[in-house]
Amino acid sequence: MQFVVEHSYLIPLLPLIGAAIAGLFGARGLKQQSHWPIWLGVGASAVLAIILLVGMAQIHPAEGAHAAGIWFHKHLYTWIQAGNFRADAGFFLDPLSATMLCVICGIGFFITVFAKGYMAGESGYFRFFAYLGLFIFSMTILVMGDNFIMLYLGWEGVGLCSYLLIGYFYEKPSAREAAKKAFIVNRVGDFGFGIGIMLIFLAFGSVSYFGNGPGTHSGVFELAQGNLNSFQQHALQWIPFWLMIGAFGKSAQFPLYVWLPDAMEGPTPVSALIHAATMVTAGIYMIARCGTMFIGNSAAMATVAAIGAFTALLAATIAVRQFDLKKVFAYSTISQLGFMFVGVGVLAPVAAMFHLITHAFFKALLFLSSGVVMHAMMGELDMRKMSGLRRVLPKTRIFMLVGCAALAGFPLMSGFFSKDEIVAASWAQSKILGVWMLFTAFLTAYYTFRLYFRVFEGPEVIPAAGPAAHGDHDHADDHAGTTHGHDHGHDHSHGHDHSHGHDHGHHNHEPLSMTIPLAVLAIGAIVSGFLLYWNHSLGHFLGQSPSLQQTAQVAMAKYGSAEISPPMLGMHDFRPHEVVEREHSAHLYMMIISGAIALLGIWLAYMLHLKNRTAGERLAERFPGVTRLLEAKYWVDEIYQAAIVDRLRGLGRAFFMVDRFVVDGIVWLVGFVPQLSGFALKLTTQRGYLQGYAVTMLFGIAVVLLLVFKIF
Amino acid sequence: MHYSIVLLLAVPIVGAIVGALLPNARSAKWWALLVSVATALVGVWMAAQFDWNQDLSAVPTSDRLARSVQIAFTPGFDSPLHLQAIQFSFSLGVDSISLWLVLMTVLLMPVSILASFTYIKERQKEFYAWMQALLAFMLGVFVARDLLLFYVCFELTLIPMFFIIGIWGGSERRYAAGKFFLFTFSGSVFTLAVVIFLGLAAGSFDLATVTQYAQYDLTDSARFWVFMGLAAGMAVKVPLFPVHTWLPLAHTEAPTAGSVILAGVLLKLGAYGLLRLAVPMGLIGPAGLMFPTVVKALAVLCIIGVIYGALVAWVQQDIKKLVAYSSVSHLGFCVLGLVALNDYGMQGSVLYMVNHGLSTGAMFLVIGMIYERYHTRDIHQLSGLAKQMPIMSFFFVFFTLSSIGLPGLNGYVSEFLTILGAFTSEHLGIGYGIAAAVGIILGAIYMLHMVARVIFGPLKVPHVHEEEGHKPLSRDLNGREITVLVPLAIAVVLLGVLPTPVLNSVLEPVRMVRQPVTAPIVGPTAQSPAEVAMVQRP
Repeated sequence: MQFVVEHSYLIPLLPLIGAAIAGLFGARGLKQQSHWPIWLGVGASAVLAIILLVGMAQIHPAEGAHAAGIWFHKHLYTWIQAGNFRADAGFFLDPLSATMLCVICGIGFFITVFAKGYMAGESGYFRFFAYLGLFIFSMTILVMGDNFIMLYLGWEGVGLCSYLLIGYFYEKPSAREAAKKAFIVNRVGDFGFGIGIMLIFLAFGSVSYFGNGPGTHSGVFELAQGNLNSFQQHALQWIPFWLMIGAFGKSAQFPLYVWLPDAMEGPTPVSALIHAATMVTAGIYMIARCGTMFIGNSAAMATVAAIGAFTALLAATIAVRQFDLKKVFAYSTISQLGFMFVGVGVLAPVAAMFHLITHAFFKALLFLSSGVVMHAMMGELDMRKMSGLRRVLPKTRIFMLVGCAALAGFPLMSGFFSKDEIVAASWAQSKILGVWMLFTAFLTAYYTFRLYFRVFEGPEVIPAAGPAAHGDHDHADDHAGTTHGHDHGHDHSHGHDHSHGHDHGHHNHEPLSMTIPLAVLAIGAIVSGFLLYWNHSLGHFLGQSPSLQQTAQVAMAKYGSAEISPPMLGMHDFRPHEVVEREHSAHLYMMIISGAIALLGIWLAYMLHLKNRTAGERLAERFPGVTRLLEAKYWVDEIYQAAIVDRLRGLGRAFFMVDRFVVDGIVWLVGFVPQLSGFALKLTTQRGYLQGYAVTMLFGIAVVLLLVFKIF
Repeated sequence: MHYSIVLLLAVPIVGAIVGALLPNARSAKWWALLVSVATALVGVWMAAQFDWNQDLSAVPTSDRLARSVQIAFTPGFDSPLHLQAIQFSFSLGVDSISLWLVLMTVLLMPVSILASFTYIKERQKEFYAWMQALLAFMLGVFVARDLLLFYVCFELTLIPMFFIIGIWGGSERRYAAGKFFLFTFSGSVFTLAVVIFLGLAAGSFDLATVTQYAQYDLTDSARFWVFMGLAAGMAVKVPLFPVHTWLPLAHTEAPTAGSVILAGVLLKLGAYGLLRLAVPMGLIGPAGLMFPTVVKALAVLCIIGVIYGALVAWVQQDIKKLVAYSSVSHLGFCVLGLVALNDYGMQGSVLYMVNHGLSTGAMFLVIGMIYERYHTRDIHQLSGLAKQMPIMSFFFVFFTLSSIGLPGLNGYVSEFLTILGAFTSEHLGIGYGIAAAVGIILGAIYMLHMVARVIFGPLKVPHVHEEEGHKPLSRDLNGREITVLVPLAIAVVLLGVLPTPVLNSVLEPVRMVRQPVTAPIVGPTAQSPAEVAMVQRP
C-alpha cells in the first residue's frame, strides 16, 4: 500500500494516458481496438484503488496511521498561487476517498468492459473510449483532491465529459441540445459552488481541506471549528448554501435536476457510469467531505434534507408514468439521489454513502440491462411496444430482476439495507419525513416492477424493426455501413447461443463480454448491502476518515448525544445500553415496515401491469389530469424555457438593438464633426476616404510634436 | 545596456521596409514569416536574459520600480534619441508584465501571418508589410518607458490596422475601418491632452518620473482629470461598455489575421495602459487609493460589460461577431480584476490579458479557416462540421473550453482570480464578485450555443463555387493550419496547468502599480522631479 500512496498520482494519470492514446491513435491506428488503452488504464487504477482500500481497512483504528483517523497526504506541486491564495495539486487519501475510488474505478472498469461489446461497430468508437478515460481521470481527481480547487477541477472535468458523451451522437439535434443543457445547468450549480469557494477563502484564508494534515489546524475544516470572528461566523451561515447549489446541480436535485433525464441521449454505458453510478454522486461526496461546515448549520442541514425529500418524491411520481425504460431509470436515479441527500441531511452520512455504493451497483446493472434490451429491440425502448421478453433475453431478465429487486428494496437485497438506514434515520429526525420517505419507497417499488412486469413478463411482443425513436443503434449502424463496415461488431454477428436466435431473426444479444460485467454487478447488487451492513462494517471504515470524525465531533458538540445516532456518523456506539437497545428494536420494526412497503409496491405493480393490464390503463384514464401532469413531468422544462431561457434571449436581442441604434447613434453625433472635416479634406486633397483619416492622423501627430517643440 | 530590446523593435521595422520593396507576393509572405519568427526569437532571448525569480525584498522601496525593469535601453543625454528640448527620450524597458505581453504578441504574430497565406489574395506585399509594422508598434507600446513614446506607438498601431481592415476586410470594411479609427482616435485625444499636460508639468516624459509627479504633486481635482483623460483613451481600446460598439464591426470585417491581432493584442494595449498609466497616475496618491467611487463606477461598467456582452453574443448570427462580443464580456473580467487593486485581481488580470490573447486569437483563427472553405460565418448556414472536419472541430471545441474557463486550461485560472479579486477587494466586495460570476454561466451559454450549432447537429454546409486560379483547400485542416493552432493549444494547456510562474513573476510589479512610488521629497533641498529622475538614472 505504501507504493500506492507514494504514487497515488497514477490513479488519475493512467486513465488519462489511456484516453490520450485512444484519442491520438484511435482514429487511424487502433480503431476497433481503442478500448485496450482504457481497459488497461482503468483496470490498473482499479487495482491500485482496491490495494489502497484493503490497506486502509487493515490499519487498526487504535494504532491508526495518525492520531486523527486514517489519512495520507501527497503533495505534487503548487498549482495556482496569487498573493496569499494558494491551491496545490495534491491528494488527500482517506477511507472516504478510497471508497469512492473503488466505486469509480471498479464499477467503471466493468462498464468499460461492457461497452466494448455494446459500442462495437460505432464509427466514433475511439472517441467514446477516449472520453471514458478522460471521465475516470476527472472523477478520480474530484475525490482525491486535497482542496476545493482540485475538487472544482474534477467537478468541471466530469461535467465536460458528461457533455461530450451525452453529445456522442452529435448529429442528432436532440443529443446536442441535451448535452448543452447538461453543461449549462451544471454551470449554474458550479456558479454557486465557485461563490462558496471564494467565501471560504475570504473567511478562512485557505481552500485546503486539512492544510498540512488533520490536527495541524491549517485547513478550512479545522479553522471553521476554531475561535471564529464575527465575519467568519456570518460566512459560515452562508457557505453551506452556496456549496449545496453546486451539489444540487451535479447530483440532479430540484430545481437543477432537469438535465439528467435528457442526458439519456448518451450511449447506455454512459448513462450507467456517469449518470447513475459515479458522477451524479459527486454532490453527496462533497457534502460528506465538507460535513464539518454543514452539520453545525441546522438551517442548511434541514434544507438539504427537505430538497432531497422533495426531489425524491417528485421524481418518483414522474417515473410512475414514463414509458421509456431509460427515462424511468433516469427519474429513479434522481429520486434515489434525493434519498442520499436526505441521508446526509438527517445526520447520517454513512447511510448516504451506503446507499451511494449499493445504488452504484444496482443502477449500473439496470442501465446496462436496459442497454441489452435496446440492442436487441433495435433501439426501441418504449415499454408499451414490448412485452414478455423473458424468452428472448433470458439472462438479461435475471439481471434485470436482480436490479429491480435491489432498487425496490426487496428484503435482503442491497437496496433494502441502505434505503432502510436512510428511512430509519429520517424517521428518527422527524416522523413526517419518515412517512414521506416510506411513501417514496413504495412508489419506487411500484414503478420498478411496473417496468419489469411489462417488459419481461406477460405475452411476448417484440417491436417491429425500423426507425426507432430513441436510436442508439439505428443511428450507429448508418455510420458502420459507410465508414467502418468491415469492422462491424463480431460480437453480435454470429452468436453461439442459437436456441432462441432463429425464430425472430435476431442474433445473440447476450455475448459474454456483456454478460460477465452484468453478472459481477448483479452479485454486487445482491451481496453489497448485507456485507456492508453487517456489524456496521462500512460505518466503522468510513468513520476513520478525518472528515467524518470531525463531523461527528461537531455534531456531538452541537446536538448532544441524545439526537444523533453515532453509527450513522461512523462512530462506535457509546450510548447507554438501553438507548441502543430501544433504537435497535425500532430499527427492526422499520426494517419490517419498509420490507412490507416494498412488497406492497411490487404487488400493486403485479396487479396493474401483469395480472390485469387493462385495469392499470383504466385507472390511468379515470384520472386524466393526474396522468397528463405526470406525463408532462409537471411542465418544469416548459416553465424554465418560458420564464428563464426565452426571457434572457429576449434581453439579449433588446441589448443588441440598443447596441446598434442607441449607443451608435450617440457616437455618430459625436463623430459628426470629424466627418465634416474629413469631408473637407477629401475635397481639398482629392484623396479617398480611407487615406484621408490616416493622413489626418499623421498630420495631427506632427502638429502635436511641433507644438510641443515650440513650447520649449 | 541591453540591445535585445532595441533589436525587438528594429527587426520588424526593418522587416516591414524590406518587405515592402520585395519583388513578388510569394517572397513577401515568406519574408514576413521569417521576420516575425526572428522577432519571436528575440523575445525568447529577452526572456532568457530575464531574472524571473527576482527578489526585491532587500532593495529599498525607492529603487524597486527601477530594478524591476530588468532589461532596459536608456539613451544618454547627448544621444540623438534624447530630445533635450522636451525631455523626450527613446527609452525602452521591460518588467515582467511587459515581457509576458511581449511574448504573447510575438507568439501570435507568426501564427497570424502563417494563417494568412491563403486567406489574403490581393495586394499581398502591402498586407505583410503592414503586419510587420503593426508588430513593431505594438511591441513599442509594451516596452516604452517614456510616456510620449508610449502614446506615439499606441496611436501608430491604428494606422496599419486601419489599412488592414479597410483594404483586406469584408464587405463593410470601409465603414468598419472608419468607425474603428474614429472611436479609438476620439478616445485618445483626451489621453493626448493628459500626456502633454503631465509631460509639461513634470518636466519629463519618463514614466517613473511622471508617475511620481502625478502621485505627489497633483491636486486631487487635477488627478481626477488626469485619470479621466487617460482612462478615456484606454476604455475605448479595451473596450469597456458603453464605448465598445466599434469592436464587433471591426472584428467582423477585418481579415482573420487582423481579428487575431485586434483581439489578441490591440485590446490588451488598453488594459495595459490602464495598468501602467491610468491606475498609478490617476488613482494612487501618497496615501494609496484616491477615488474609491471612481473605481466602483469602473467596476460596475465592467460587470455590465460582462453580462451585456455575453447576452448580445448569444443572439448573434455571425460566429465571428459572436466571438467579438465575447471579447467585450471577457475584457470586463480583465479590467474588473485590475480595478480590484489587490494581488489576486491584478495578477489574475495580467494573466487574463495573456490568456485572452491566446484563446480568442485561436478562436478567430479557427473561424477564419471555416470561412476560407465555405465563405460564410452564418450560424444558420453551417451545421454539423464535426462530421466533415473532425480535426478542426477538436480545436474549435478545445479553444471554446479554454474560453469558457474550464479548469485545467488557461482561462479558468485568470477568470477565477479576477472574480476572487473583486470578491475580496476592500473597495469592491462580495456583491461585485457574485455579479461578475454570473458571467461564467452566460459564457457557457453563448459559446456552447455556437458549438452546438456549428460543430454538432446534422451536417449542413453551403455550396461553394470554386474560384478560378486557386487550389481549393483540403476538406479538413491541412498541415499548415494545424501548425498554426498547435503552438497556441500547447500554450493554453501549459498556462492552465502551470500558471504559477507567470503569477509569481508579476506579483511585485502589480504591487508597485498600486503603491505610491517613493517617499515624497520634502524640505528646502527638494529638487524638481526632473532632476530627481536624472539622479535616478543609472
